[in-house]
Amino acid sequence: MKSAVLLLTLLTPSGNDPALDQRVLALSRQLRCLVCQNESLADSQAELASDLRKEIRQQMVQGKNEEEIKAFLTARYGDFVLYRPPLTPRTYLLWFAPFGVAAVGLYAFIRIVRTQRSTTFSGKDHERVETILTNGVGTNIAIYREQMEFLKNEFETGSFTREQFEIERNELEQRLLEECGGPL
Amino acid sequence: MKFTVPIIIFGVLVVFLGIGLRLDPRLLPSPLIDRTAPEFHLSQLDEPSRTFSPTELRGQVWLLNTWASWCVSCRQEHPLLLALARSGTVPIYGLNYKDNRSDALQWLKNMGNPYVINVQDSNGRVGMDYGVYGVPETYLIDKTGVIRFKQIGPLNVETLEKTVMPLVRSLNS
Repeated sequence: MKSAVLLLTLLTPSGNDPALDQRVLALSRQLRCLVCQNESLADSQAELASDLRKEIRQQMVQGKNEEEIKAFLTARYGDFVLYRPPLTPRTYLLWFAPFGVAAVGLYAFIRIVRTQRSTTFSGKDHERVETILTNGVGTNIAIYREQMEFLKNEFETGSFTREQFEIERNELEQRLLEECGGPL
Repeated sequence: MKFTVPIIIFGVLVVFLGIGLRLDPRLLPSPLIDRTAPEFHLSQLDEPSRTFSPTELRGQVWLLNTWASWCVSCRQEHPLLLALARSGTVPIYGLNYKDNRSDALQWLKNMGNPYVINVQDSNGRVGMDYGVYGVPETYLIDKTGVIRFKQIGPLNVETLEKTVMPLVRSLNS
C-alpha cells in the first residue's frame, strides 16, 4: 500500500504543486477503481485509474470542487465508484440494516438477561431449600446438607467473600432444587 | 424447537451467500442506460481528416462497439461482430479505444472489418464519457440517440439472440 502510493507519486506527472497532489490523492482514495475493484483509484496501477487521476487533477486545476468531480464520475460509472455510497431509497437497506441488526441483538440481549434474572433466587427459594435441607431424608440431601455447611463455614471464617459465597450457594441450591425440589 | 430461530437465520444467510456467489461483481449497472449517448467528434480511423459524430446517426438504430488491438477479449468477440455485420440487421460503429492507429488498421486487415466507420479515441477521453472500464463494451443506441442497452465484455450468441436482436427489432418497428 505504502509502496503503491510512493510509486503513484513517482508515476503521476506532478508539476510542482504538492497541495494539489494531496487533494488529488485524498479524493482518489475515496473512489474505487473499476478495473481492480479491491483498490482505490489512488492505489490502482490500472491504466484507467491513472487516466482518471489525471482527469481529476485537470478538473481540480479548472476549479471544480470534490462534489462536482464525484458527480462527473458517478454520471459515467455509477455510484459504484464511490466507496461511501450516497443515501438514496436504493441504499436505505445498506445504510439502515446495521442499526436494525443491532436493535434485534439488543432486544435478544435484554430478553436473555431478563429471563436469567427471573430464574435467580428469591427469598422464597432460600426458604424452600432450607425446608428441604431440614426435613428431607436420603443420601443426596445429606450430601447437600454437608456441602451447605461447608460453604457457610467458609464464609464465616472469611475464606469466601459474601459475593463468592452467594454465587456458590445459589449454584448449590439450584442443583438441589433441580434434583430434589420438583419443578421450580 | 429450541433451534428454530437459529436455523431460520442460518437458512437466510445461506440464501444470501448463494445469491452473492452467483453475481458477477464485474457487471455493473451503467448509469448511461436510457440517457442520450454522449456527444463526440473524433477523427475516423481510415481517414483521419474526416470526423464522425453520433448525431449523424439520428433516426437509426446502431451499435457502438469499443475495441482495441491490444484487447484479447475483442478477438474472441470479433467473429460474432463479423457475422452480425454480414447479416445486415444492425450497423456497427467502432470506437477504437486507446490504440495505436497502425496497429488498429493492421488488426482490422488481419481479422476482417465489421465496422461501418471506426473512430480513434487515442487518449480514451470519449471512452471515459461512455463509462468504459473494460473493453470490449457495446452500446445499443436508438433512433433518438438514447442508449438502450450496454454489454460489458465480449458479446455472445446468447445475449445477442435473447436481448440485443429483440431490442433492435422493437426499436426499429
